[in-house]
Formats: sequence, structure tokens, C-alpha cells
Amino acid sequence: MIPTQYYLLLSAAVFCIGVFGVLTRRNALVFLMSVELILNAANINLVAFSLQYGNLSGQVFSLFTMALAAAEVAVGLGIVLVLYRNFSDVDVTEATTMRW
Amino acid sequence: MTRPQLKTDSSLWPGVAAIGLFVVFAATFLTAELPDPSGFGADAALMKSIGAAMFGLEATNIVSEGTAISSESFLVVFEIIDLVLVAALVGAIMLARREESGETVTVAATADTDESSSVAADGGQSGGDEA
Repeated sequence: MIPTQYYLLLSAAVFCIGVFGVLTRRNALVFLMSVELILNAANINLVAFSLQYGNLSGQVFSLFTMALAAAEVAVGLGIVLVLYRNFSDVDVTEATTMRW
Repeated sequence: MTRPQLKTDSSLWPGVAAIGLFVVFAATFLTAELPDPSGFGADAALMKSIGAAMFGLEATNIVSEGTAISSESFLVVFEIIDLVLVAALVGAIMLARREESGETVTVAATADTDESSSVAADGGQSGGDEA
């Protein structure tokens, strides 16, 4: 059986790619994708420890996390749409002020 | 001729931070001493057991062949996630919907609207603040 450490390593790699994307990308859609990577890294961890301890809770939790990620994407895409309407661009650094 | 070029004028720090974070993670994980994974066994009925856990049922009542894996009930969590999904759906529609006249509802209107009031009590539509 594959040791749990390798799953954790994969998860860390996916998480760091997500963090890199959040730090560097300015396109809101790619930004959202990076946040998804971070969330999925957490899912890999949950499933890995579910296998480690022979306990189903981690797998059920990761299913719920996926549902939450879907909800987050729905709201995120709505926000991207509003961003595009207001600034004619999906660059997240454009929207630096909160104004009516 | 244009072709893809490497972007060299950007800052290196985000990349350094991400790689540094990965190195810290890798050092922690590879030096951690975890026992061998216990796993679920070859004949475990995983899918049916997950279904039973999500709906708060007893896994042994559901699984007919293979080993049932008992777990705690997640029925309340399931219902909460249900509500959150509906809220997100409604929120996304509210953000994206257009009015009958074809005009978009701007939740956060910009400076180029001719609103005299700074309070958008009408959902941010242009005009109609005089009344």
C-alpha cells in the first residue's frame, strides 16, 4: 500500500501551485481556478487520512467540500460577471476601490 | 512574427514563496513517522457505506455483499450543504440576472452612472432616486 506521506506530498504540491496562482494571476477566472486547486489539495488530504485510519468520515467530508466548492464557484462566477460589467475587464487588480 | 515569450519583468517573490512553502511541507511530511495505512480491506463496500453515512443510515442494513464500514451520521451536514447550495444558486442568479428592459442590474455601480445619491436602495439601477 502506498504510504500516506506521498499523498500528502501530492496535496502539498497542488496546494502550492494554487497559492502561486493566487499570488501571481490577475485574471479573475484563473484566480478562481487557483482557489479550486487549494480546495482540492485539502480533499486529497482528507481522503489520504481516511485511508490511513480506515475511517470513512474523511471521504464523506471531501464530498461535502466538493459541494461547497461548487457553491463557491457559482457565487465567484457571479462576482466575475459583475466585475466585467463594471470594469469591462476581469482583472482583479482593477477593482481596487469599493464604490457605488 | 509573434510567438509566445517568457515574461521576464515580473517579480520572482510569489514563485519563491510557493516553492519555499512546498519545501517546508515536504520536509515536514517526509520526516513524519506515520504507521502503515490501515486501509479498508479488499472486500469493503465503500460506496454503499458512504451513502449510508451521508443519510444517517446503518451501513450494515444497506450492504448486502462485502464488508460494511460503519461511520457516524452526516445527515444534518447534508441538509446544511443543501441549503448552502440553494443560497449560492439564488445568489449567483441575483448577481447575473438582467431586467426585462435588457438593462443589467449592477450590484456595485461604478462612477460613470449618473446616480446623485450614494445609497442604492433600488438594487443599483440608474435613475429613479428623485421620488
